[in-house]
Amino acid sequence: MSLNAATATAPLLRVEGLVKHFPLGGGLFGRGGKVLKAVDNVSFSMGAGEVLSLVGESGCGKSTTGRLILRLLAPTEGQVFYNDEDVFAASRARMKALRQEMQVVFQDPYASLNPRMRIGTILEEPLVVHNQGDRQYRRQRVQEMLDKVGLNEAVLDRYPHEFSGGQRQRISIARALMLSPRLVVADEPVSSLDVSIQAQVINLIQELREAEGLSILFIAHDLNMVRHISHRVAVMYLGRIVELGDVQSVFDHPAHPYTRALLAAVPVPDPEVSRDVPPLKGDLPSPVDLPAGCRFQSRCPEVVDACRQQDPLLTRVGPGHQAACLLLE
Amino acid sequence: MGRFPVRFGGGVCTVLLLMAIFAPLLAPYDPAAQDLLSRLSSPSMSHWMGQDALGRDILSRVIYGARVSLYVGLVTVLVSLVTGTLVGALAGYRGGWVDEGIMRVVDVFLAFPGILLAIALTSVLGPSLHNVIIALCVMGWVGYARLVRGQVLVARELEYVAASRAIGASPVRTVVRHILPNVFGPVLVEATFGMAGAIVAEAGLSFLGLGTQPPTPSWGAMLAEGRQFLLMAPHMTLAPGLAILVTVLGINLLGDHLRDRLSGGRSLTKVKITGTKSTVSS
Repeated sequence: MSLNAATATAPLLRVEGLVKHFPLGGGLFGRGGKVLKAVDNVSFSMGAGEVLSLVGESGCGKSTTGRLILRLLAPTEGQVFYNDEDVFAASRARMKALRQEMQVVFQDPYASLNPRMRIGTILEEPLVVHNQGDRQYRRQRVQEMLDKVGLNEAVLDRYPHEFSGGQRQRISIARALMLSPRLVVADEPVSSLDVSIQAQVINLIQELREAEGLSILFIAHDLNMVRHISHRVAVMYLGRIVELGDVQSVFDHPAHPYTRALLAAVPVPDPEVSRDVPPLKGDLPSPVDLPAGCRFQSRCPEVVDACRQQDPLLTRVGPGHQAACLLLE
Repeated sequence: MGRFPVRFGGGVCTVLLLMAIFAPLLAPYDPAAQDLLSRLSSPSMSHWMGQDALGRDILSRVIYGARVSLYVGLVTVLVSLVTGTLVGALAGYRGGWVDEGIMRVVDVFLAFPGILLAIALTSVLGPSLHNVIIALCVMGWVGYARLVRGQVLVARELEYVAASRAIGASPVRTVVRHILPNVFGPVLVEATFGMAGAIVAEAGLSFLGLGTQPPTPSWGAMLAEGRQFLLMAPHMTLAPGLAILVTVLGINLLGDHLRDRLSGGRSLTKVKITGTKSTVSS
């Protein structure tokens, strides 16, 4: 697979100032209560055929960002443009049409397939919803897709619980591709699978990406895998992107202290390798009570006084490489 | 206890159903036929449960009374269940002010004593079997609405529901195909208890003269008639009373069993635990 990012053309997906706050109640009718700032001003864009990885710890807002892009959640603020079309402004009919273009694969293959439906019905549903073809055509499409994901038609009349995690994830992928989308949000598609199965599913995703010309927003926390699969990578911390750039530059020259800590924490299969970056201490601060200034200050090994006052913005640190750290400004 | 409760419950329900369907075949006498010469006679070989104040055969009237009880129970539960499920699904799935509005109405209904409202309604509408059903349905849907709303709130967050929305499925399709099947189990349990409740309520209203009107045999009305002859002819009260007791007990036992089965075996997360064997060390 070539890792040349196809970013020369107009972006397929453009995310601008995306914000999602979840009210935590407290006040009457949810007013006046505290809010959880799950996603706090996230902007990026993706080209056609590109794989952009969104990485970060649990609870940093990766999945919420993915769901916002697909309009499975309503944003508090911000916009998402698909092919220069404002997704959140789309009418119901237009949104249904847009959904053919952008699909999702979820993390938990045990939860993402309806346990009461047969595999054939699950895979056929996208076509039924969009009124594509007659029964015979749909069956044929389902069989083609099963073939592509490496399953045979014997699975059609069986139920999800009869399959292993890896097989179910193949089924989820097949469902996502039934409508021939151009953009797939893969929300930690392999995190809940065994390591041996992870590689298989990742390879399948790569093959399908090339065959179908997909753009993939790959949400993950396994950095080795991210390096392997993506063109660009965005590192998220507490609802915000702190570093964004080509895989090569981010992995070889991480600019943000958080990225450096994450990379240092990646297991290396060599006991001789010493670690020059101290591991992160403490837990993720609560996204309800964010500190003033830089949100990474409480765990940053390089924190200075200014970090407690000023909230850093993404600034250019190299070609196609941005990071949000005061020390870089 | 073992399997006795469920067998008893199942048996009672089967007998009740058969009694209601085949009443004309099973009843030894016409339930309305009077025999004034043998009024209030005690149980005998020809009249197993004795005769009432007008000399009618009580056994036949109990058998026909099952029709009324079952009819009221089934219709009330069906209407309440459908209404409550629709309203609850709407509230749970839409959320926001729709949910807020519906649930406040539900709270008002729940805060009001059910049987009192039923008495008031039947008094206004006039005493009849169908007005009893209307009164019971006005109260009945509330429980289902609350139950279904809660279940929908849980099911709404399931990933396959999100996947269905991502596909572009309409809210109605998502609710019907992916959410309501999850709600079915608890609703079925609620329905069995609702049925027992409706039967008791009908008996109560008929006892007060607000329900089934003579000569239609209803267990509640039979109790009321027997009340005047409690010392002279206790069998008049005993037979319908026992019928109500056994029926309601049976249905409730069946409901208990269903609840245990459905909550243990078919919860939302069932798929994750299939195949795990419990290891018991002795």
